Amino acid sequence: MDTNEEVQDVKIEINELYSSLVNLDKEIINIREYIFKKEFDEIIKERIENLESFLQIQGKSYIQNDEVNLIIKGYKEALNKIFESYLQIRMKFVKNRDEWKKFEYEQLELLILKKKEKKELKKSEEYLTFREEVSKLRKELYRVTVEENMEEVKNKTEELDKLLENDEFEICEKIMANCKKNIKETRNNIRERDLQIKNLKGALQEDIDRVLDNKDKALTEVKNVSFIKKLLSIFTNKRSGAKKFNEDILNPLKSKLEKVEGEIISEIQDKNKNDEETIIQVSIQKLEQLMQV
Amino acid sequence: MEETNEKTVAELIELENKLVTEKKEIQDKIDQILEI
Repeated sequence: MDTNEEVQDVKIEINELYSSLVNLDKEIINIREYIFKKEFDEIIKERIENLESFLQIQGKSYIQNDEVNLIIKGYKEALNKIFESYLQIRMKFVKNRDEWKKFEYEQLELLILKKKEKKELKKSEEYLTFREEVSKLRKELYRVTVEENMEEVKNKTEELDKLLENDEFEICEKIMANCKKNIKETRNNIRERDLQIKNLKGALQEDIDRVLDNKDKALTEVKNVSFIKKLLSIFTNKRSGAKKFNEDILNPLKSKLEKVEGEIISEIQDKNKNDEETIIQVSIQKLEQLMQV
Repeated sequence: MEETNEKTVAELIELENKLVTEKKEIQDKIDQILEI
């Protein structure tokens, strides 16, 4: 098997392996996205159902359906807006990750090409002649150094340096070393992005909790009175039940919803936008720098 | 994706871990060939 066939075989093998790698990576990304969506769809659905059943228990005979429905609808829309903001930033991170992945593949291709060139060079007539010239010049440099002919030492050194500048083998080695460095750097960036994608889960969970925690906390947060206490107070005072339901439950929930719609959602959207701009911008700059070398 | 839709989150996480291991094996193989 000659060098060409050998290198061709490696290229085919690498291409096959890389194609499997890319497919697996895509599958993993899709699964992670699906898990993210499914988990949070379920969490949001559960929170809304909890709120709904909580209001139904609390309101029982005097429930004001239109108002209650509006509150539920408002919270649902708010949570979906927050979820959407996270889906957007997640999508941007995945896109940026894909750009790094593409660069990694380009570097792998270049590495294979240079590996092939290096092997071919070793056997080429042209390169053998070049090595002979270098060897000859080194001997001459040694001779003039021993003779202490400083002017010739300077001349021969310059000549040798100039010749070595065109050493194709060395050039190949340098490019290969750079490719390997870039591949490692690329993988670090992909790992970093993967971690940021993973961390979005915790951040989204926290933001959902800020808007609507479980039914007990939702109200204790609003009025600092426990769920059981509220329940008891409503059932033990049926005459003023409807009024209490409005004062203790609906009004605080409405106020909180106003705060969510007026402040919290835009705060979360801004935070995500800011993270997206900072992280993606830095990442793109890094990638562009590597591409230029 | 149809198959994925039918799986629970726990099953999907298990599948994800399996694929991550497979991916790591392929990556190691490539690195070995290219001496990365």
